Amino acid sequence: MDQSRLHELEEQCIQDCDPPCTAHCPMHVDIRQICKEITAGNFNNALTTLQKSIPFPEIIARTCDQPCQLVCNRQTLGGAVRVADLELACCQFGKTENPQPLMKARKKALIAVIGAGLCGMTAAWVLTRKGYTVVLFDREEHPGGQLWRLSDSQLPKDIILRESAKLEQTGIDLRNNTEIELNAFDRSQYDAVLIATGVEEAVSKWLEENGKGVSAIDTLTFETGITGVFCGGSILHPPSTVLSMADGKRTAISIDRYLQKVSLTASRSSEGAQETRLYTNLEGIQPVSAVMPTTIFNGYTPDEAIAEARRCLLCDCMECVKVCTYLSEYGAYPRKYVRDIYNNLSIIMHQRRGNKFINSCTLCGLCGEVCPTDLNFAEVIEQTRKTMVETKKMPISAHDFALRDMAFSNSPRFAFTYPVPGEEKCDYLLFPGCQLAASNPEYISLIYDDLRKQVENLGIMLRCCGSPAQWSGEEALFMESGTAIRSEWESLGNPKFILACSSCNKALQQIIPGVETISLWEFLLKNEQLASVRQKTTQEYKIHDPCTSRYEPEWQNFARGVIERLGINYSELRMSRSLTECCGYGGVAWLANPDLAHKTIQRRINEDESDYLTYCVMCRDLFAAEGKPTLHLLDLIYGRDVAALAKRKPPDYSQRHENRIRIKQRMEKRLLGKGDGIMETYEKIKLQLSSGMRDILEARLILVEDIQKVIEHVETSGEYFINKSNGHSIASYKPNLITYWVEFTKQEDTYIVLDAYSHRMVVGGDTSL
Amino acid sequence: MISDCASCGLFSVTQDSEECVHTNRPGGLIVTERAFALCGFPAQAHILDVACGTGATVNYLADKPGLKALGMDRSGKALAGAQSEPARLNLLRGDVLRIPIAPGYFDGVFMECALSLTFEPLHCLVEIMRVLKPGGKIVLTDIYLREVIGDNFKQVISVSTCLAGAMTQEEVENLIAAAGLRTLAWEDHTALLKQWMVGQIFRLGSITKVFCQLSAEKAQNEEYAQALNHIRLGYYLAIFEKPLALETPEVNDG
Amino acid sequence: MTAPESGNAPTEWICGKCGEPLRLSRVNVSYLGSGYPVDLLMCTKCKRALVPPEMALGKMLEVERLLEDK
Repeated sequence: MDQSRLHELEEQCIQDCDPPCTAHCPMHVDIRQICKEITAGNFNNALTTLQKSIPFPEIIARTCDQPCQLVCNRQTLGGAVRVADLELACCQFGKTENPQPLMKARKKALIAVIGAGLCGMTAAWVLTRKGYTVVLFDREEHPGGQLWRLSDSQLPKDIILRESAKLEQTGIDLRNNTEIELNAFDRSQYDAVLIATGVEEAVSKWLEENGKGVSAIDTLTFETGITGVFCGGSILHPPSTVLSMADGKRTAISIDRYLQKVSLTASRSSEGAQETRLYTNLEGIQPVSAVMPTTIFNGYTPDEAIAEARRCLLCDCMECVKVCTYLSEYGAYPRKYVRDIYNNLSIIMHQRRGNKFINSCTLCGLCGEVCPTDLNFAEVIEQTRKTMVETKKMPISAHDFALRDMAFSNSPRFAFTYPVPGEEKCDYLLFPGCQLAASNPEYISLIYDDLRKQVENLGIMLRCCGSPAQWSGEEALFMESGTAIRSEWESLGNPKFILACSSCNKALQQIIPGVETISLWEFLLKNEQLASVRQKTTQEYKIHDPCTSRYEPEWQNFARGVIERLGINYSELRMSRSLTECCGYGGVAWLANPDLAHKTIQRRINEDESDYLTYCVMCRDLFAAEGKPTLHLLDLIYGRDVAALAKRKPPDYSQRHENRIRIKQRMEKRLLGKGDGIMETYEKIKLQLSSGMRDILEARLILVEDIQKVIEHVETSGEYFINKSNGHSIASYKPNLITYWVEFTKQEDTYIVLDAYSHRMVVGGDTSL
Repeated sequence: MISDCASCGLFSVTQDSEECVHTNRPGGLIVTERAFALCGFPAQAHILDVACGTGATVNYLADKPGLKALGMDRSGKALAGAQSEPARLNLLRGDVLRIPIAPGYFDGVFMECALSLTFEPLHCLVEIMRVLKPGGKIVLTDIYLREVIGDNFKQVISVSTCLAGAMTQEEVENLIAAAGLRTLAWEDHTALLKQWMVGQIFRLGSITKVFCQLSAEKAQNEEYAQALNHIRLGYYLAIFEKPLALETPEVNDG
Repeated sequence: MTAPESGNAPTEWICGKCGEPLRLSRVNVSYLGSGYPVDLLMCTKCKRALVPPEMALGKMLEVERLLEDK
């Protein structure tokens, strides 16, 4: 994934966008943060946050024209948050230290600011803090300009004096009682001039004669057309305190850049009031009326301020994080995650990979469905895994077990393709998928029989579709598996696939673009046998759609059609159909991050108290394993005791292997007439395993056949150790990358397995791999 | 039973005879040698090893003919352990925040595996710069946050003395820029850290135990172990130069 | 499984192939290019070592994860 695409994706996530209040505020006050701090009772911190944006908060709190009020998301839920009153509370209850003495070195430039209204005051303030020497002229006795015209109750005069005293305290050369006549003004002593006089006919005329005139003043840079002369404030717009203050800041930026001889326009598009892309979900938020101050001009008590600040929704997006255990696990959001994954890609490419993070996503795509900008984080992860595999940065053992399972499914012990005996080609090809064979092999032959009654020319293909390879980022492996499927499909005359698994559907669509696939449910709906299946239970179920059916409404509909035809009561979960959640199997996440998979399953099964009904065998198995009674559609059609079936714990890994071997042998015998199947030599080894031992094997990802291989090795090589004191033997065997150890005793021809474990580290010998 | 490390006296060990994880640092002298080769000091250079600990680097430097090496550490115990028999090393007790040496004295300063242990890294760098000649070089090796996912880890690792100060590469670069230094080299040596960690795992039993030894509050809990899942540590070698003439940093619009 | 005794004393494990008692010996264990010496019970004759489950499931597993960057 290249840098530009990454930036695009980062931009697509809106979580970092300003809430509407901040965006529309010309000074971009961090209102959300202020509300957070007041809610916690931290008036000091709140005041500090306010002062970061507003140099004269006591004035603004009382006089701001409050553009935020029109855009606050609380408007429809009790009324906009009373920001100005909260700002006043900050001033009244918060204490900060006096403005810090200047730390920046003085710059060799002299700036004249003409007019000490809010614009001029702010500009002078900002420029002085940047290190410039500022002379601030005003014809009145005190700074403040039009502020003096406001009523005493709204803005007490002593507050104007107090706030403007900061100007001299900070080192500004204040020249009151000095009227500047622009024609007589000697600009040459100053490196830059700011005209902030407010509306004055003489000034407008002067600007007209010497420059471009008031109406042509640059709206971004505030240049007047006269070199070194800038203009801002109420001369440019209808009276607005916050707008004048913003002009003051922006003209100061322009002057600073002008004096440093750098671009006046670069990176300034976020200045001034803006629209915001931030989306905030208001569903379910209760309206709460605004807290009114006891008297308008005296403001809140601390408790009132806290109560009002609490009404702030702390607007943000986080829509995807709200619905995904994985995204919330790491405490951030997609924009940050994209950044975290690819930070400094150009410098040290190989070192910055959050491997566990990358391998914990189920790739279910729910994030993309709920995101206001359709950002599908799964796509980022998929691409990243591919890149990691290509650049050999994927940890070996991350997906190894799943890929070996896939290899097993595609080995002669399970893989089996056959048309109708006697035919060479077939019209339809039943592809039940490897996990249905692993968990419910008996259903496969029953389905086959039923479908044959509908469709004479039906073939069967037992294989893995390759999804585990794709989920693991193993593109080459996926292609290889796909090529094999494709060539067999072609030799069968390009039949239509009948699929029992929506993951297989997804994979096959990629392997053979445009291939015709039909869900088993669609087929069964047309099946006469189905009409005669008796309703097996009156219980009501919640239907769970597998995540790979997210974009397949037909699959969702046909499955429901079958349920209805069977006369079973069901209803929808809150998150269903295109909003369904993954069971944890997707993306091989269960292997990379079992803890997170457990949380994912718990989240889904706790969504409702009812038993679930689904049409993916992995969803059924994972939910049932964690205690949620779950039925598969096929249980309702072919099963007998549905209550027991819903609670059935799934077969363990070794059993899943055996089930696949058996169904293949059965189909082979049936269709070819022959079939001992292939029996490996080690399969003859007889083992005795307690149920506790089977649990241990399951947890350690060790298969029965792995143990058989070790014992076979003992028999052929005689290599083992004996414990004299208890007669236990122990031996190891390394078929490939993993060394398996087995502790055992032998009773006649049966080996009793006492312990089994494995490791990848190599003991002794060559250290290079 | 938990006690202070016999060698450095600063960090904790679970058995009396044990050495803490700080006495043998990742890569041993491999990175030190590489750094020395990259710096190209003049023959009679004055070099300071800050937080010299048990003196491995000072020893190495003292062997270079003509070179004048000085080792400094906060811990008297460490210095006593570092001194060779018979004594030949120049060692000094002091704090990197207040180096008892005149300005502009050193051609080079080594600070290995120690910056992340200080609470005020910028002040440390500024103080080191003070005692450096213009054009002098700083050799920094340290752990860094090679990668970080999300924000959840921050709270938890603040418990650790060693990890709390660990920075990402970007943060280190910002620090260097703020101090006014120029980067001459940045190399990743995470392989050495991994090798060192392999040894520590075999010695102590698990990664969590390794990190717990680095933790001031002996955090042994699940949360701590989980938080470690969100970061990947790396190890870097960087060489910085004190500019010949001091430039004032550029101001921004903020 | 009982922990191996320290030192070179014979233990309760013997090699089924050679008949020799296993003795604690220094063996190198490695993975992906990083190695470390550990003490394992080993048959002095055929040089095969016994890896106890605590080590396989404990330290070795941690090292494997670390080196794979998992």
